[in-house]
Amino acid sequence: MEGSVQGSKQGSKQGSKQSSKQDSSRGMRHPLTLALYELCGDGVRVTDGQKVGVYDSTGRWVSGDRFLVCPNLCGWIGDGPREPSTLKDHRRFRNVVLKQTTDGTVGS
Amino acid sequence: MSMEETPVRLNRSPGPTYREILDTDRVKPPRHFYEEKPFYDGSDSIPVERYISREFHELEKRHMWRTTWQMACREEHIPEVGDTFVYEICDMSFLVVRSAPDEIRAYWNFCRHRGRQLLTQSTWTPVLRCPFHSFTWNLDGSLAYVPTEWDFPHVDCDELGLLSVGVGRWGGFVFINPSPGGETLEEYMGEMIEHSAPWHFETRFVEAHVAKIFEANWKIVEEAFMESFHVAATHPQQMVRLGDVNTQYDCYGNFSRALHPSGVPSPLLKWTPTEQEMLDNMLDIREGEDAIIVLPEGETLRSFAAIVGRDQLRPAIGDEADTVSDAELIDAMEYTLLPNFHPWAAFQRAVYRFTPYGDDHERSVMEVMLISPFSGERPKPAERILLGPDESWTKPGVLGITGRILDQDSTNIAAVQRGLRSAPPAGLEVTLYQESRIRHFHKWLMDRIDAGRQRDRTSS
Repeated sequence: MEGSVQGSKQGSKQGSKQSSKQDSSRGMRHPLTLALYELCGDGVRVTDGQKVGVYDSTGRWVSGDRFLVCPNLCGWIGDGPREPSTLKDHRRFRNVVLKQTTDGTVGS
Repeated sequence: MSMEETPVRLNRSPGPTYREILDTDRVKPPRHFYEEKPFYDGSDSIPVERYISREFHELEKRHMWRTTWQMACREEHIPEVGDTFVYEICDMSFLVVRSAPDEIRAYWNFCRHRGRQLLTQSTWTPVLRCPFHSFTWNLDGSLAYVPTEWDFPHVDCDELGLLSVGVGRWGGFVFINPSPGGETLEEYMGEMIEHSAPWHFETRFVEAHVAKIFEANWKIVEEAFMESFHVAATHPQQMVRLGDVNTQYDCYGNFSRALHPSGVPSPLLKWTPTEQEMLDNMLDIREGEDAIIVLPEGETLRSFAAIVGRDQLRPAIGDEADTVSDAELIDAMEYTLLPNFHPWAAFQRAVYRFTPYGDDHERSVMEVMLISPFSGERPKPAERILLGPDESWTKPGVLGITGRILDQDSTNIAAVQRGLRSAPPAGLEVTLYQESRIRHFHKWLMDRIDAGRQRDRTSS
């Protein structure tokens, strides 16, 4: 099966889920609260509306604002890979043959 | 009441049902996927004692483990005549022996002279010889040699064969039953045999085998894998592309199953992810990162993953791959053959097993085997790697992203045991539908224990 690769992700229908690459660090939004969980120097930075706090990978507060966070997502982000995912990380998809998209960015 | 009757309408999650999701697929699954077998046997709480009481553990040993079919090993663990696998459950030990090229037998692992275990580890052996005094049995269990036979005039050596137990084979797995009581493995498994026939587990090999010790009763560990109610709290990262609360749960006589729809969002979300966002989530593409695959036009994640899955299967099963349904290629479908054997269905590779750790009712072992198709000569099965309670499933580096998900599950388990230990006596209030497999498991277990107690009363 052929898939394709292009330079930027399709836009989300969920406007609040947009984030620019430069201020994201392996970040993921909690699917229910939409709070953003990102790697930072001393743990996981969680941004929920106007509140920003740093928590460790067990969900324990480290610094910044104190509020309820998801310990499991803190662990998923904090203990997870530092580098972006690649096809070889995914057994199911690793044999997908990629082709170039019309904008000609990446492909094989 | 029969375990299969459901006298009340169980509440179900909003959102599409599993059957409605199947209706959107291109290649439809076998008919049994459309069958619903909900289980209802009342709304009683589950007594905490079943997880923390030594007395209850002894009841399980006497009336369940000694009388039920249980997976001991894979046939590939004993490929040659003389290969012998030591299978232990609680304080019981058994030898599973390849006694002829197409014959497997199993025996209680003890010498009929002084009781020593004949083997303490799996090995190849031409005969079964006790290291203590050299009593020796043939692989078929018949007595081969009695040292100083002149001193056993009181013993009829023809009656001194090894004590055998029931053996059943299915899908490349070897099961034993210490007291089958006339029930074959095939009868015990019932419809599960028909359900699983197209998946050819016997044509696979153990590519990885990792086990982990938990400081919790074995049922706590197993029950953590019998529902997807916990996904929103424990695995929130999966909700973008995994139906959780709309999982379908079916309970049959000695087995149950969960059909988790994949490639669809959780009905709990208050927003609707695009098909691309679901694929990105599956590929662990994070906020602001570039996609590594863009879905071809006109494909959904389900249809795309099914096409990719067929391409992946083709080297192993040829054009039969074209007949494999979308659901079998993408959904997470788990079966549990009670008490503790948990193969993921279709072409998922994982098989779980849950057992007490030795005879300890507050510690257990969960094993994960990845059984994979192969072409050409059968590869050797992977050696089992045993992890301690604080070690990560990711440590051996063979489980991929599954190891990280299992680590999330693992954070709950010992904490449940400690919670149950510290709490005042009370019952556990579990859901009626989403945890119906747990209720079915307990009903099955208590039926066995009650029947065993009744037998004891009758015989005394």
